[in-house]
Amino acid sequence: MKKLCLFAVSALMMATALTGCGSDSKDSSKPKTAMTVAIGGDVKDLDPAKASDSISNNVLVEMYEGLFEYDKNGNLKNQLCDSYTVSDDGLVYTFKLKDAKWSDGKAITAGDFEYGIKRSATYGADAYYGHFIYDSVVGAYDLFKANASVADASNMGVKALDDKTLEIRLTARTPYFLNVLTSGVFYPAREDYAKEKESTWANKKGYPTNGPFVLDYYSAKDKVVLKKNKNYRQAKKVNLKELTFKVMSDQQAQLSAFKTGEVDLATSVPSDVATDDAYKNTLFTIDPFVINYFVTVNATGSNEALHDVRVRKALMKSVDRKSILKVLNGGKLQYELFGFIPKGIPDTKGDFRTNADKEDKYAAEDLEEAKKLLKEAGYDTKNPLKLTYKYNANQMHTDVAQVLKENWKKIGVEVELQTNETQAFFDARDNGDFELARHAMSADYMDPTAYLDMYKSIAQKTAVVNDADYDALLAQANEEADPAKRMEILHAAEKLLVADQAYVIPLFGYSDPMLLQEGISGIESNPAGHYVLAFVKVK
Amino acid sequence: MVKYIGKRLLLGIFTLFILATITFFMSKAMPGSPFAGDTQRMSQDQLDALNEKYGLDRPIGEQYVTYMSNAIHGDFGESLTRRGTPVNEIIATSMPVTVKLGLTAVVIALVVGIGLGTAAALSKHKWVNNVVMFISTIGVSLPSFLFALLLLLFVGVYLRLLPTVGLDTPLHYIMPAFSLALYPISMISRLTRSSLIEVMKQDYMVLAKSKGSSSKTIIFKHALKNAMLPVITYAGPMIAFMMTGSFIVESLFSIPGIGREFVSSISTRDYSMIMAVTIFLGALMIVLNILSDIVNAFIDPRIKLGD
Repeated sequence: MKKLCLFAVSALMMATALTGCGSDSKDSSKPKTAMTVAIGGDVKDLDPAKASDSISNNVLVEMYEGLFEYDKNGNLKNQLCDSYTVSDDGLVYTFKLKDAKWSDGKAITAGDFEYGIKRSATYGADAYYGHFIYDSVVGAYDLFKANASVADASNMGVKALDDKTLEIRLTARTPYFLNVLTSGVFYPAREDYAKEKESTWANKKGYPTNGPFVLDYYSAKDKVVLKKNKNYRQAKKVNLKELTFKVMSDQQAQLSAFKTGEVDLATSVPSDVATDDAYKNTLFTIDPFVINYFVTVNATGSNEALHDVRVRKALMKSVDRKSILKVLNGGKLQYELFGFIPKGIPDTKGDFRTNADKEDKYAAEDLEEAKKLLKEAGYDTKNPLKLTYKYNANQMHTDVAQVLKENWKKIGVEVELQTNETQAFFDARDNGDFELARHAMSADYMDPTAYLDMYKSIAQKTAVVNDADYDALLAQANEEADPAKRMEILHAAEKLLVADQAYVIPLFGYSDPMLLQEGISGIESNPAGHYVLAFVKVK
Repeated sequence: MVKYIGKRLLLGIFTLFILATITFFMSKAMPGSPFAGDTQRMSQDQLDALNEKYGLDRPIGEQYVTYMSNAIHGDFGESLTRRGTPVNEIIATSMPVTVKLGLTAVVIALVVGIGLGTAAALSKHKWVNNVVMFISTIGVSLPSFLFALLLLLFVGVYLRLLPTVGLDTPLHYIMPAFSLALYPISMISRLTRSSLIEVMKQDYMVLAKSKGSSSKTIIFKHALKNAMLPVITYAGPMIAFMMTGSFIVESLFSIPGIGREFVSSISTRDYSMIMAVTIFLGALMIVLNILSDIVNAFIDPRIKLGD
């Protein structure tokens, strides 16, 4: 016992002694060329072929360059692509590459792209965005189905014609193809490091990358540290020598660490900082950020009332979006959404949503019309319409649900709110086990079809929207060679989905608040949610 | 003794088996799947391929048999949310973090708890007793998440005395360790106090005093030793509890430990993580409980093992 006590006392003394000398590791001594970013979840994967979540992807955009990346407005800008041509039938893309090097000094060749794309196509089930390749590139789908290897991919439609020329052949015209080239599955890869069907190499430092930074330390649940890549083609413009992503899953923890200066950019903080004057000078946001919050209506489910377009329209036209935004209190970071496509998706000219709203606000509130439609459908106070609305328990979703319930009460619809645990909710929604349900989607690529394709009848696990006219419009848009005409068709498809049929009830678009220390400037963000820190200046 | 330990270990393995079986079927019974959130971004082909690859398309009985036979050979599979990473590896990286923090908290709880309890029992000033009782009442009734948050906001953000993120330096340990230790400190100080008061009244204490032993000898050699028995009984499960980590404390102080892992694996339906962490923590609990029984038997001659 005595020994135990003695041990305990000496251990505590040792701990206090150690703490005494630990105090000089404060942030004051931190070099100005380092930056710490707090992220809200684990960095699951650093293999571009496999990365699925926005957090991993945000680290990857600091480490890699592909052919293209999005600019501030969601338009494409060249990264390693110098120029490109498309054949008249839209099936053959030929890219000329810029002169650039990997971090170990080797030149980036078209062969690296060929290997990278073939590696992604044959990676197997875990290549999350692999469908970007299987859906369009010649031979890729069969390789995926056969669980083939890169060596089997000699007939796949990806080929390095010479060191600087890459050719990609498609099975069908894919108007948004250049957009999906921003995805990690199309990044170049080094055959001598990036092994097939395997990603452990990506989690240990020592392999070359071609972006502003290279990996220095990786621990999925703790932090990722990147170091400047001296061989990066724009290395002169990169001021940071070190960039740290620290996993901090608790929003309050991020806020506290931001206040103490332990982090420079906090990416997941309580939403009320958006309207708090104390953060006026440090509030940072990705604007526009592409996400739509909407109600999905089960138009083919067991409740046949929702098969009636008049009922769906009545529900849509009785929503007061201002009252939702007021409750959410997100300030300028939230806006009323009247169509399915949120702000930030480019049109032929300008922004898709802004252009559509100028013509017609599809889902605009019209209470009188809503009441009239509901009456026509056979519902009134004696025979009230009863519905259920499903959502996953979370403060924001609960707030929205309660406002919706009040909104719908105004036209005499009784809505029962049903909350589920998140995964159970997703499962129910996928299986069409709902009448009305909350939904929100960020876009995988900056084209209207990233959203509109969701409600193609064959794209849904259970088709809650099953409309031949809608499917036909989307198919027609894919065939259309003229980009302007194609956009017109997509506008028509959106109008059908929202204004004519009210299959979805758009509510609002938003951007999450972040906090950035004063004196830091130069973050390049885009509507896909990437915030590129390579060219940041820290005062 | 050896026979006793062997028996306890066998019973422990049986308990683990039951635990694993129940956890397996309960986690599969939860609606949803690890891929439920991604269905709208992936094609059906991809989802089918994923389910096939991770065996989720098989009948549940077959999945169970496969899992158990792999588990017996030490293969707990890959995480379903961080696919490609064996769960063994994830536990091996997060467990040491939790253990380091947990041990620090245990040491703090024992030293501070016993110290406070002794002071309260022996001090001639009534206010000492009152203060200790007040602290321990607060400590027992204040939920640890609230205490941790208050500590974070006041000491970390307002006073800026201590760092708030991670466990990089010894300084980083203070707040999370105290957050974990608050409740045990209160329990231990109460146990020590009441048991010490009880012991001081015993006949052998009077004898020791009348023999003329110094008060130091009396307290440390006779009184505290005997007063520690209930504390040690309590310490066994407490240490086990501390070693399993705390979701709240680990989240709030951004510590990549096992407590956070356990909770998030359930909400993401990471079946292999749920199973591995449950089995691992279960085994840890069982071993620590056996150890604490053995220690008890050594200290208290009245306890006989093997009954």
